[in-house]
Amino acid sequence: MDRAGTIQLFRAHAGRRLAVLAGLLALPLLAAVVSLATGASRYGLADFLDALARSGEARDILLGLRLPRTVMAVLTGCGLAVSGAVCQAVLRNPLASPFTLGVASGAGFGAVAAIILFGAVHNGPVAAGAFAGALGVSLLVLGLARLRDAAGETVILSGVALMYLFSALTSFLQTLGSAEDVHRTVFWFFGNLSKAGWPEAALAAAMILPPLPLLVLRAWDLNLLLHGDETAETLGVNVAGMRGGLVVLASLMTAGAICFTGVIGFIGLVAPHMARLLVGSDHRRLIPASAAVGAALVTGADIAGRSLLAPQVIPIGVVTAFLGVPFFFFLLFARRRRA
Amino acid sequence: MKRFFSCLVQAAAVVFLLAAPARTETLQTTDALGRRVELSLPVRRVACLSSDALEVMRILGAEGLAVAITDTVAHEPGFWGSLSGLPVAGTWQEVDLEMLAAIKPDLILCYAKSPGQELEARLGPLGIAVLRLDFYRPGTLEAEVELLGRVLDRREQARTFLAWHRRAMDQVRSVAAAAPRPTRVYMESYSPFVAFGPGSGGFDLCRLAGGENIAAAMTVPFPQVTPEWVLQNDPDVLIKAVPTPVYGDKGRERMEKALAAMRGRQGWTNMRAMREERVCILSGDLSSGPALAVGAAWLAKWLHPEQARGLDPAALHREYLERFQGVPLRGVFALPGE
Repeated sequence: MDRAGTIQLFRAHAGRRLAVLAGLLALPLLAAVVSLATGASRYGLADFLDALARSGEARDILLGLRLPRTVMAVLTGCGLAVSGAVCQAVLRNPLASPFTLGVASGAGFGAVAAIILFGAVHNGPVAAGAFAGALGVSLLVLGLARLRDAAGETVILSGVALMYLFSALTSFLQTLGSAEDVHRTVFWFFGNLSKAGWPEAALAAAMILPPLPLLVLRAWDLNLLLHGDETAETLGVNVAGMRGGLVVLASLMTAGAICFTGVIGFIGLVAPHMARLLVGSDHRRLIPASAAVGAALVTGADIAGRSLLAPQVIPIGVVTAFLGVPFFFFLLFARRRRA
Repeated sequence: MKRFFSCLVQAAAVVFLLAAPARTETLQTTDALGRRVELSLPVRRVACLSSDALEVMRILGAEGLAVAITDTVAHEPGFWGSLSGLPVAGTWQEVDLEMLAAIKPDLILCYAKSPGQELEARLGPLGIAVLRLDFYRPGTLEAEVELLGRVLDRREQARTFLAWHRRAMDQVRSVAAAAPRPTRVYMESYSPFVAFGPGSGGFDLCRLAGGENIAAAMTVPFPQVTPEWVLQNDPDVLIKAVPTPVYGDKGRERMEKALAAMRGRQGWTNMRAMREERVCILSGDLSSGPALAVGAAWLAKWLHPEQARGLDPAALHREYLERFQGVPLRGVFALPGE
């Protein structure tokens, strides 16, 4: 094939991937529309204009409850998926996610400590405890990794060790708690989007959205990291600094997502892989595609959780695991077949 | 020779009588799991692994038989007094089997499902009996108190308490019966947007007090719900349970914060219960446990204020604490109210 033919083929291929990306970006929008149309009350999409125009029950439900819930679902999915994609790139490990770095265990420990040690009875202090726990673990991972030049495997091993440590500390606190406290911690771990109102959504947005353009701008550096630390260093990437910074950024995005909602598993691991299958490994497309897939998955899981046994809600963390675990196995076996 | 044998037989009889154990009685009964349990009476030493059971022991005037407690009791000396100083055999879910074996109680009292059945498996062979009674469910409380009265030989005290309890519950029932229609209630458990559903103690209590729980169609005891569903059902009254313990001054802040958080829930401002300021907070001390008649009285008062004019839950609570627990009423257990 001549040069012109190769360029044409490349352009056609890139064009297809861009078209897929555009389609993917429409997914969370579609999921959000379905989410806004789904609820226990009789109000649907047609009532939104009425809700915007005047106060009353429609406004309370559509703008006060359903819209912030949907916004929170989109933000949570977006934050978890992008932080997963970043972790998998900077650690060059397809099984990496903020959860394998111990961030969720840290958040869980913080929430359980707030409930059992400080007797927190409402959401604010519990969310603050979860955020502090997640942040503390990310800084610990970073500190430990820096002791050994922030190599990828050091970061992962430190994260896994901290995950076990904080899981054990959480279990220890639960042995100290009363039956009522343990009841509350169990429900915190299930995940619950009902706790999210506009203030929570605004805070989550402040932690999840600002890093997105920054990550897209550093997409080339992330691409170079996939070729190994030495290659990336040779081409001008400050690998240690970038790895540390991005791990903390990813952890912050995760903390922003889960401190208000509780643990929502598997999105950070699975959504980047789904996006990679569809748009390839180029982070210029992978970051927005992961955000879109993650947002669509969490919003879809929330719709399913609210609808399948309505009016009972299947906890969001349970639904995402139902979706995530089969896909996780698919990935494992597909990789083994390729090997 | 004949005389020698006669003396030998008489001596053997005396030795046998002296060596024989004190007269014991065996009681066969059924525990909260529906299992047949055989107990040797009298019971003199009780390891109490449930604070509800210890509260009932105090009701029966049998707290002096307690030889071990759980950490919950140790952490609340204000309410439990000298009982807090007894050896701590673990928590409500995990116990120190070795310590219990060393203390060697006649009986271990614990909840139906916790700690696990390793208690019977490990301590049964050592001759330590385990009796599992919950003492927190409205449907079984009376039978369980009556049974413990028999086991600890405090039948009269059990009868006295049960007479008081039944009188209080009858008052609640008559208030509920006088109400023109059931009041629709959203009753939330300790976790946000997790309701008391069928099978939970809070659900039974609500029904007893004449409440129509909007979560009645749910299939699990603690269903997660959405705020939109609650708003759509537009309950007359919102009730939030707050975790124990709240006895003493430290509970006041916890209760007041819970009330403020419920009143401030986003999107609920136009709900009937919010508009009519019928948002109530009830401590777990009263929503389940031996004092649940007081909790039922508070619910009746909140659900049917007109019919419950003659009902004074605070006075009932004071009577319960002073007469059956030997402590004064201190702290806030219900808002609005106490």
